[in-house]
Amino acid sequence: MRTALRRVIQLVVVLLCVSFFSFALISLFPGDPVVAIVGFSSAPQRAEIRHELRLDEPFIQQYGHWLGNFAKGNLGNVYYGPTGRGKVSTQVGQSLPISLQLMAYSMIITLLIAIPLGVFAAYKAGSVFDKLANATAFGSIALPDFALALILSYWVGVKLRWLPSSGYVHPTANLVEHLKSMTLPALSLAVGQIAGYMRLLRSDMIATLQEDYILMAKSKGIPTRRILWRHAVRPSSLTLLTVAGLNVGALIGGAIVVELIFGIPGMGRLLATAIFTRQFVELQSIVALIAIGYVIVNVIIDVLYTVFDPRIRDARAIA
Amino acid sequence: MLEPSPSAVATKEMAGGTGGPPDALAEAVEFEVSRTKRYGVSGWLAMGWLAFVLVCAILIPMFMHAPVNTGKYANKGFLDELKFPLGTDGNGNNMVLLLAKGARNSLIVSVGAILFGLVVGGSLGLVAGYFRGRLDSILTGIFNILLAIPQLVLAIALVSVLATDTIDNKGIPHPVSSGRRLLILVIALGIVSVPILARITRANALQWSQREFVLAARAQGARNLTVMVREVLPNVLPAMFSIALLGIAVAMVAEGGLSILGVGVHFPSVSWGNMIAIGRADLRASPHIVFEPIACIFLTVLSLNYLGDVIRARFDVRESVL
Repeated sequence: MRTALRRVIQLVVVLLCVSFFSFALISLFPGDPVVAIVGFSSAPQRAEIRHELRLDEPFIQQYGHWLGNFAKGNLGNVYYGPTGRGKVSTQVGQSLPISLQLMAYSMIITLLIAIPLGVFAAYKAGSVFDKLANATAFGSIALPDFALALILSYWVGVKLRWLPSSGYVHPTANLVEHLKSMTLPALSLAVGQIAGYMRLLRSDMIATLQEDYILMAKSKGIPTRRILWRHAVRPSSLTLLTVAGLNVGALIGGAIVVELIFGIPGMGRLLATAIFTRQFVELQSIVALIAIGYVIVNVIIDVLYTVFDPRIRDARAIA
Repeated sequence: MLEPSPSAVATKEMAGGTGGPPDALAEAVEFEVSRTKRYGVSGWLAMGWLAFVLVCAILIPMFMHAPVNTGKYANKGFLDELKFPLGTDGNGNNMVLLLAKGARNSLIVSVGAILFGLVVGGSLGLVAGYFRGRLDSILTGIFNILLAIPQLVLAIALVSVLATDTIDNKGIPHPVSSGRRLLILVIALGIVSVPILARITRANALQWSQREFVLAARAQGARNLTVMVREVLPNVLPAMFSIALLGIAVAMVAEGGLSILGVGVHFPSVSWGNMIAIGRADLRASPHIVFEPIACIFLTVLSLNYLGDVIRARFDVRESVL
């Protein structure tokens, strides 16, 4: 119970710090942020916006207001010139699901390919297949996701014309076209991840396969396939979870860039537009959202550890 | 039955393993290193490529100049003409020259960022690991908060805020100069790398600080600074160095990502990332403009990763914190 409480306090502190950092970004900006947000504007209009952004208040008070609004889901405004306003939350509402879809698809592809590869490489450790898989994995880690995205969009999209090289179709509009439009982006994100998962799963499995209970299972005459999939893979789920935790950050960064290459209207494009049109309020909110999401995912992974691993669960229960 | 006796193979594989979390490649590499005790052919190839890039980045822009008005040579492909072995871009610039200039800026940004990270993160990590106690928990807390933001997002945030064109009250924009932009990129990517380098340094410093020779130095009355620099630091350096090599690769890729987002190196200057970002618009017609810098990035990152792994294996660096 006390550890749980400490975890919650830790989480709150980290979330506060991360949100404060995102907020403080705007004060790092050289020059007047209002002039940057609305380029051509009269002095009274600027004064109004300055007041609206509470830039005339003390810094801590500004942060308090911002945090309060943020918690209520009010992510601030996008300014189209001195008078036009749009809601950041509406834009995020449209873009975030698309980015989440992309990450989910690439996660599915990653697991579907990496787990069989890792298991098989461990089972045939030292074989030609194992060496080949390792070398490929090492190579694909060195290939940045945006590079792979460009290569795929050129070869598969432009040369072979198998799949669309850019654009996004909403799943409710046409599910097949939707999946087609997401295949290349998800694949470009997945390849680097597959390598990471495969390598760790392989070395974890090699250790597991030497355990006595595997020998026991073998001597009982249980088929190889069953030993591999039922007895040996399961303890490695924690390793997979660890990699997942490490990789989420890379996945988010990769998704932002890959979205831009394939013209997918997700968070990446929102972020790029916000930077290009100097919408610092929007930039603040997006950075804060992504960072908070990332922190929460890592906390969930931590909690899953306790659920999956009885050793940790029991140790916590005693403590 | 598990036919090819995996346990025997596995034992051989594990024999060279590190003590930390198992890393398949490090094991494989270490196994090879222990056999040859050298960098191996691949290692020399990797070093050769890096040296080649470095020499090209320095020498080619010194001796080769862009010819004026070369419009008629625009968009020559790979090996189209012997004069331009790697082709030309949309403005008729020789790709060889562009790639060399790009190599220079890509190296400045990535190596500069990691040097920044090594100096700042390394010294913070050393202090945290050596003194332990409250200072350590405060510093570790700061590192963890920096790590709580996805690296690329942190870099985007820092660069886009620091390197925005300022607009004066008359609405006239003042663009950031290329030199200043490079500096901002170095600092932003450097800040991103600080917590990672600091944590690996701290973890190693923590172990080495408890050894007898450190105690001996302190017993002889050496000051803390002397002990840190002369006794602890030399032992921590291999770990820092191997992670730094991987870090340079990561920073180089990150610069590419930033360029595609439009916040990397900007037009008059060239970097590999920005060549990709600009050439992307014309991918259909002249793919070589994009694929040549991609090949450069790939080979460089591959070499850096490989050498990082070799060093890690040779010095038995434990990745307990990564």
